[in-house]
Amino acid sequence: MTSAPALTVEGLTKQFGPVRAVDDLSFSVRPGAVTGFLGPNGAGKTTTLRMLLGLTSPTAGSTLVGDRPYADHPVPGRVVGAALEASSFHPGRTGLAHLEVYAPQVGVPRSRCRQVLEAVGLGHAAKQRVGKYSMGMRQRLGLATALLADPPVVVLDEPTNGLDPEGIVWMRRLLRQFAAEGRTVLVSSHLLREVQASVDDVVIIAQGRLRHASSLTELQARTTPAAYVESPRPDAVSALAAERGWTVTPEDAGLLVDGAEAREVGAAAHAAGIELHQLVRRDVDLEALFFELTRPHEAVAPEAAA
Amino acid sequence: MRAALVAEYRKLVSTRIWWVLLVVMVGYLGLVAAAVAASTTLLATEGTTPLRGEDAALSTYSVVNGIGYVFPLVIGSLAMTTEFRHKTITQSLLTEPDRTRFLVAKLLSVLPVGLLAGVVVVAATVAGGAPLLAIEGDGAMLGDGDVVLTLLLGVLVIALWAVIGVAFGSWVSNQVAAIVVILAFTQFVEPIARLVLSPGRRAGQGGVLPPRRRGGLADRGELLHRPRLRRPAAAVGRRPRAARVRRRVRGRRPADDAAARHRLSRLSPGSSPIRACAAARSARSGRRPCAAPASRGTGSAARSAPGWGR
Ligand SMILES: Nc1ncnc2c1ncn2[C@@H]1O[C@H](COP(=O)(O)OP(=O)(O)OP(=O)(O)O)[C@@H](O)[C@H]1O
Ligand SMILES: [Mg+2]
Repeated sequence: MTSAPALTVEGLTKQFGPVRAVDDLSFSVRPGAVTGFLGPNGAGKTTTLRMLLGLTSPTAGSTLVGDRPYADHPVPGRVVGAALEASSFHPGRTGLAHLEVYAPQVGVPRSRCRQVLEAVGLGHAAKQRVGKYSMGMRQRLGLATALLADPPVVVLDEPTNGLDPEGIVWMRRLLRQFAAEGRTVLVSSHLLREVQASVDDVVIIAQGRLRHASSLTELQARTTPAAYVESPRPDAVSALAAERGWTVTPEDAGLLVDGAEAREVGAAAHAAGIELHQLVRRDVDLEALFFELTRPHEAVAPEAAA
Repeated sequence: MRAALVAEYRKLVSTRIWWVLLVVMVGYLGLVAAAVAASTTLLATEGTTPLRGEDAALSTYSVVNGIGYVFPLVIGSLAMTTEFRHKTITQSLLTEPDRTRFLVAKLLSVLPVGLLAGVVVVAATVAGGAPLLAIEGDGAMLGDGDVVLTLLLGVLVIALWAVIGVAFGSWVSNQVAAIVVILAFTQFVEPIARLVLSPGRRAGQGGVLPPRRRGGLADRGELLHRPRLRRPAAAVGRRPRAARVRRRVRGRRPADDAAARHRLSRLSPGSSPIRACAAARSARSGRRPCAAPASRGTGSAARSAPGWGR
């Protein structure tokens, strides 16, 4: 797997009636890394992935898998393994039969179905009807379907939904392994925290628009520690902060100290003999940053303007 | 294409519905064939000339075409609508982004099951009808050329209906809607329409709803031998028989055929569509072999028949 194809999304737009689900979205996904595709519910993640996979036609823009659109590959199922939303199985089919249905078109023998089922931990349920599977088992079966042809590109829509903690750890490790093998991995989620441990890059969207794309490290650099303090001597606290190079802004009955962790502020105040009545952590961590990035833009009222 | 065909075939046979429907179909048509055989051999009474020989056999065996087609139609439509119902269409189009190839593979993939359905259902019909014909009637006629042709065409017709079912399912992709439409049409609309439109068999009427839609292929066989089939005796025996059935259903004497037809056509939905169907069935079963109307093969009726796998 020397050079897995990259994924490219260029000026992608999708209009569903009055809803602009995806709005002029552009980003790319490199091989050899796990890219987290993040956004709140309804942000347009699934719609984007469906367009990338040729299931929905875009209103405008284009998507590429390597050098051409998904459907233009001779056997697309061998290039991209995808699992979109975990409920699309015929309940009357067994897990094994489900894989055997799709095996011919990706060019793998029946024996591979067994093998991949074992690999996702469903060996024991191979002959069980999918209708009796739990949510987590369906999720694993979806992954097994995606991995049937051992593809260089893996696209998973919310793969940790319904997985138990053990399953989540297992999925993380699997994603890391894919990246280490040089594959291109795109994983969507509505929680940054959930993929934080496994992604290298992040693409964050909200309301169909790109809000942020960078490596996770770069995003993390934008996080800052902060603390909220209340003191009978706010001037002393301000002076102390200035001395240490922290910025201070008044908030409610106290002060917000940016650039310092709560314990640092506490220690400094203690050393300076400043009385504190409250000391609260206010770090802008990844989660808070994510909220900030995906916060709905103020609803401009075009109909009011018109 | 081969891979797509194999995939579609596996989809069909990896669920239970197709053989459940086959079992029901075999039981149902076996019974109906026995009932038709009984009506042609045992129930012939005064005033009518009972169906004889080949006519009786054809009338019995052609229930495959007359009512059996609903089963392959349902099997075929399920093959398609189940993809939408369980959203497996997503995975299917991921592995086969070429929509045309997907559809063609789906259409063709039901042929093996359709042919199997045809064979077992024809066998069931023969098993249900032949004993009575042989014991009480003029014989099972299984060596007769027309009969053999009808049976073979019956197999083919059933298989083709499965293909049509797939096409229908891709048009009406909502599974419940598809099944409701199929059942409503085959069990109510069509029999009633047939009853209303066919008794007079006047030229032109066949053009509204082609007579013998489903029996069509077999009727082609009959048409080849029309001179033999249009025996005056049978033709005469038919009309009073149908009228008698209707009289029984309505519970009073109709002034004439036209009046009865008029009333039947205005049956309110609440009153007795079921009875109307029953009347349609009895009338149909008694009449089938001598079905070739005077206008048949000479005018619009024959020309309006093409396309539906007839
Ligand atoms: N087939 C459709 N028809 C109409 N609107 C649609 C359709 N599919 C999606 N939408 C709309 O597009 C928007 C984006 O939906 P999408 O499913 O892509 O969001 P998502 O980011 O995957 O959300 P989630 O995290 O809940 O899965 C939503 O407003 C949704 O209502
Ligand atoms: Mg989604």
